[in-house]
Amino acid sequence: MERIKLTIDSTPVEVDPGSTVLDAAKKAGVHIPTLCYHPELKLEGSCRICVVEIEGMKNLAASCVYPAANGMVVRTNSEVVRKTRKSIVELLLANHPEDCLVCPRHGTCELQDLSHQLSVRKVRFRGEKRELALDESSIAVVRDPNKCILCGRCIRICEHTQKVSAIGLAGRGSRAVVTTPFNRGLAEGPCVACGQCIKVCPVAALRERDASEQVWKALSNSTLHTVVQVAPAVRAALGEEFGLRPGALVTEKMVSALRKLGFNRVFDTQFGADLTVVEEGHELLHRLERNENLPQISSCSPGWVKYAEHFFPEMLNLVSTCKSPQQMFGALVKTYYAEKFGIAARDIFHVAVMPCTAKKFEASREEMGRDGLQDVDAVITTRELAFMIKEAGIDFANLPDSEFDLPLGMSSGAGTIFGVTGGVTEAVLRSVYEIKTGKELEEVEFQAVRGFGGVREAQIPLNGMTLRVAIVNSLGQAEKILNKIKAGEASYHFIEIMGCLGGCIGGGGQPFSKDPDIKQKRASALYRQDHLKRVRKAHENPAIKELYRSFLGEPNGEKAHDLLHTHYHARPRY
Amino acid sequence: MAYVRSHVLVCAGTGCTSSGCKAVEKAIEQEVSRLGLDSEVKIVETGCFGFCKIGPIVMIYPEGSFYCYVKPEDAAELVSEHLLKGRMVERLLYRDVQNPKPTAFFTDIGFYKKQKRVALANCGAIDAENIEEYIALDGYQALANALTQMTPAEVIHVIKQSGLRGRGGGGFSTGLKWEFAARSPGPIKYVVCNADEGDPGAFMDRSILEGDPHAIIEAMAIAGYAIGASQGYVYVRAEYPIAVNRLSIAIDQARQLGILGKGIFGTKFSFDLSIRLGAGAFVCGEETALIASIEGKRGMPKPRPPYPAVRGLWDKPTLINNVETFANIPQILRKGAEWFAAMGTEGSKGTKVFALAGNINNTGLVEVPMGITLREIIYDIGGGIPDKKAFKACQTGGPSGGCLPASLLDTPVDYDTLTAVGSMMGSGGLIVMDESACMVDVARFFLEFTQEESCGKCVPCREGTKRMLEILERITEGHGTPDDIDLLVELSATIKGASLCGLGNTAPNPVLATLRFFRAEFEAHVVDKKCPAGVCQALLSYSVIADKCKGCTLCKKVCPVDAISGTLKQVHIIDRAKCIKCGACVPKCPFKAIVR
Amino acid sequence: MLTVAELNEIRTRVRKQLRVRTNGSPVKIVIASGTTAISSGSRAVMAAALEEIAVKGLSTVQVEQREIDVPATEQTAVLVCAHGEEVLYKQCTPEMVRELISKAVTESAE
Ligand SMILES: Cc1cc2nc3c(=O)[nH]c(=O)nc-3n(C[C@H](O)[C@H](O)[C@H](O)COP(=O)(O)O)c2cc1C
Ligand code: SF4
Ligand code: SF4
Ligand code: SF4
Ligand code: SF4
Ligand code: SF4
Ligand code: FES
Ligand code: FES
Repeated sequence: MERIKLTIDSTPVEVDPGSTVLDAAKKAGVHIPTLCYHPELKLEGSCRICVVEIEGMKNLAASCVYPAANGMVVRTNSEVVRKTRKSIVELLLANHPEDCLVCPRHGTCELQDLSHQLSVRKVRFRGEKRELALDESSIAVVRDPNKCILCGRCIRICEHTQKVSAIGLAGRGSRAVVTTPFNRGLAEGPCVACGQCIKVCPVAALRERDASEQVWKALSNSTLHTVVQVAPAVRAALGEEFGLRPGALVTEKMVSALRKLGFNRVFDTQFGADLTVVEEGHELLHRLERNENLPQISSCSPGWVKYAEHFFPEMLNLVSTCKSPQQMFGALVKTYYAEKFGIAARDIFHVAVMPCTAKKFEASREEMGRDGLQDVDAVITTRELAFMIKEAGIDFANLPDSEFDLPLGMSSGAGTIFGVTGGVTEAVLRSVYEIKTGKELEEVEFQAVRGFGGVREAQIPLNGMTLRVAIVNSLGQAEKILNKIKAGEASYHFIEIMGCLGGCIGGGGQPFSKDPDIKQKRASALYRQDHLKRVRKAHENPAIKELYRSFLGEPNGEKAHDLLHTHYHARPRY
Repeated sequence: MAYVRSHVLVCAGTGCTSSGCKAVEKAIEQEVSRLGLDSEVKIVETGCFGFCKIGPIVMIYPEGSFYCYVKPEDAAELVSEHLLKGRMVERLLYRDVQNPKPTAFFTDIGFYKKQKRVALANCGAIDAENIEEYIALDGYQALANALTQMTPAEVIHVIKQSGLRGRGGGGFSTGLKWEFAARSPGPIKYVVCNADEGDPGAFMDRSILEGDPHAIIEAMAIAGYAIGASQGYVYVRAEYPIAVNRLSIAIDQARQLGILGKGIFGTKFSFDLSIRLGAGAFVCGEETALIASIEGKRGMPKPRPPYPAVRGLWDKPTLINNVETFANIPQILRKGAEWFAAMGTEGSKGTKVFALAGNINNTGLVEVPMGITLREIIYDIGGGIPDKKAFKACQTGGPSGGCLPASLLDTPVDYDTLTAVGSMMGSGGLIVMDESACMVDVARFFLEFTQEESCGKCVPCREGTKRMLEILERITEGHGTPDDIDLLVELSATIKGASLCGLGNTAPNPVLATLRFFRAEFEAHVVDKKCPAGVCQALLSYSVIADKCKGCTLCKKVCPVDAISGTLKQVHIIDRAKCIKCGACVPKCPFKAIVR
Repeated sequence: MLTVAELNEIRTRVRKQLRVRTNGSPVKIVIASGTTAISSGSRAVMAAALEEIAVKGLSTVQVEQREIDVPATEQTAVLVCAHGEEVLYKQCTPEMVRELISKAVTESAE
């Protein structure tokens, strides 16, 4: 196809048809500020910060949506463009709380950045500011409509990427707000707490419900035994918060930091993941044998599980009954670990550090505890952990290395890759293959299931049969594949569904990042860690073997069922 | 079949319906049949005559007598005198403001004399619910001719040659738009008629749909043929029940006759129409928002390009035209592009319908050739300003336009001239203001409207109009500063230049135009803290002119807060601290001694 | 389905009926009305005129009524307006008016 030639700030560029002026500017090495634009989302063109002058046009054009055309002459930083952009930022600030100094997005806020970048020194427009109530109904996500700049990114990711539509625009003009159906609060609707909206929000209008205060309190309470588990994806991203390069693996520093914060035991969710692999693998083999409830769909992503409860209640029988690694781990902490070390379960305060906001919801589910105690007492996200480390004055980058505590800190590479889309499948395949065939795998790395495509499929020969698997990341893709299965247009034996783009590394609790390749970088950190592990298969983890031998009995056995499996129930959408 | 010698046309448009035409019609019917005139006299319900203010209107042919303010009690006299005895009922005949003698044949009425009715040709002339009357006046001939004698390209050529430009506000060449839509590839395309009519003062689209719905159906079918579409939608605001009803009747009749449907006039061309009701937001009239609304989504504009002609309704090429634009189409095809192009100015051909409102004697709907001056419209057709007051400004283009001063009264009305002087043609609202209007307040009024109607999607319009309104409110409340004027100008530039859709792109126009022509009035507000027109309450201070005061005590009695002191035959005094500026005392003083 | 011919047929038929509204017929028959005329039988003259037009399907003539100032004995007066001339006929009967109409129409057609 013929290329389009145009001039940006007197630099000639050539772009493919279908490119926008913003694309062309990038190509020409010209930076145009953006706000409502997000590379992973549908175009909106609403904030108008990206305006440019195009010769022959009466008005300015929003470069993020304006198609590049042959012969176009674009000016991205003329007097009128600069003035207009500044005015737009001023207009946003004029209706924005002056909270930067105490705001969780201070330093990661795109509005703040813009204001700085465009040298806005004064807000000349004074007038009424919104004073709307916060939505704190959800255990995972807090909405602060007063900080919202109505860029619509959250709506787009929730509606198009996640197919949840828990939030939308209501009201006209200056009364326009992002809100929930009937303004009843996130908790009353179909929000699955995935936090993807937080991840794309440029400001602090969406944020996780902060649990760090609860954790600090427990840490300073000497009668409590504090136990922390850390999810795999956390170690691949936490470093970003401390200026380390994206994709840096910071496992050992992270363990040191947690010890410094005062946790009595620092454990690894990967142990829980290994256990999940064994349980889920056996469950799969069982279902395959009986040819029932297939395809088996993974259950470790709590956003996905809640989504299924709201939107596909008729398919809940397909979802694995296995608890997620976090909850398997939690159940063991309050039983196995408590017994083994002679600590009363009620004296244990168990914290999970997760890349995910939906984990906060999961930990609060009624099924996730016993005897009036929840298995996980508090869930904090990667970001909250970073805040705590900073608050404690810990010089993260220069921490010495240290190792997880035993036995619940011992894990295989299978548990590590849980943190990236395809990882659960790969981990399960490594175990199922060996359990089913009794033979050792020659190649433990299943390249076919790796990658970031929305839906990936693979066929794995397994003892005379062909195991058909599919891997899905994001709920929009989940919707597609489930509808296909319902319509009989697709059939699989196993499907891995992760609620977030890229899997947990792209979770709603991860550090904010502007790096377009951030998912790849974090994923490669996990694959690197897997590669370095001595044990790469879950069922070969000695601590897991010991657990079954001394405590659980058989995989999928009675005790395992009691502690490690759960059930689901349909939830209304509105 | 009996020969009917007289037709009684009863206006059944929205205006006359609300002033009670239905009861009038019924009373006339009863009288006619009581006097045994049923077979000689026919009663016809028509669409709007454009002169709703003096409704209910009844017109009797063949004499062409124009009766106004007709009440059911008048029916007996009207029927026995006019219809039976052939004597006009003088007291009900229309009288011009300028000319107290009753006018007989309606075309002699000043209000109609200078009009040139093309889009409104059939409004008030035919029974809108009778397809045969439309056909009798050459209706559907253009469609028949286009389908059987012309290629789509030829149809488009004629429209292009005619110079017709969109009447919905933008003024884009209709022929070019049709050509773009025709050139967009694809087996499925749509034709959409924009009858959202959000401009608060305008009602021409409603009147056309009420008075001549078949013209729109015919035009849309022609458009469908020209661009290759077989489905059309008319997007009408839900607040137009009569228009919707007439249009659905018309669509049904056209379907029954086979003018809509498959294989129209024996050709391979098929076309059908559906009505979609709009929720009534102003912004839903913007074409991309309208498309979203038809698709069942929230009516919010989208960035263009892509234009609807390339990717519109359900992502298919879509032609959107305004009602009045469509209303011109059948006649252009019938009478030729030259006929149409002979009316109007170099860049603006044909006629334009205006809704006259405000401080003007004849308010109503008028259709004039492009190029006519504002003065002719306001004085010759509109009958000038009532109460001997002086003209101050006229506002064209509704909330997107601007106020023009007396010095521009001789401006010829066309798209380009109006834009050049800082206003707009818009959809044809024309509001006249006399000397008692405060221009700052007028600007505030229009901004309040756009601010309310902004959809809230883009930052400049959502946040900017709000701040502009606040500044204007500040000024009218006496808290304005000279800096505020600069801020207004700067905000205007941002909103105009950077907004996503036409609403924002034009929202500052009312302010900019008033600033341009009435800057002194703004300055009086911010510098001298005075409202020269005496409108802005906060800036008024009431006082008694001692020389004129005769001490009659009338003002004192009416003041609700006892701010006036004085006894009989003594000069009265207003205590400014107590006065709440209600203005009640001013008209009470027989000697005009109280001033603001 | 409607053909073009059928469309034209509707147009020709209904257009005749709408002539009344154009005030444009070449022949105008004004029949005196008002109290004296009516008592002298002008309603019957009117009826005859209308019937004549209907029966013959005439399309170039329109009927109006107006007070025509003639002595009561001269009623019913009828004014025939055709090719720019107005001729007043007095003491018209239903038969006369039929003739007047036919005559006026044939003349104007010539
Ligand atoms: C805020 C806004 C409101 C509009 N409202 C109307 C309307 O009520 N009716 C209309 O015909 N066009 C309206 N328009 C113009 C339409 O977007 C579109 O240009 C028009 O329907 C095209 O038809 P035309 O070319 O025949 O004028 C509006 C535009 C804007 C920006
Ligand atoms: S969201 Fe950004 S601009 Fe707003 S208060 Fe927080 S840091 Fe400041
Ligand atoms: S948390 Fe997820 S489901 Fe809930 S509103 Fe945000 S994006 Fe939507
Ligand atoms: S909540 Fe955040 S992402 Fe959503 S519209 Fe507001 S600012 Fe944008
Ligand atoms: S200009 Fe106004 S109406 Fe148009 S998209 Fe922007 S906010 Fe909405
Ligand atoms: S304006 Fe009202 S309050 Fe003031 S003096 Fe007159 S009547 Fe009294
Ligand atoms: S970034 Fe282009 S309009 Fe928002
Ligand atoms: S509605 Fe009767 S004149 Fe307008």
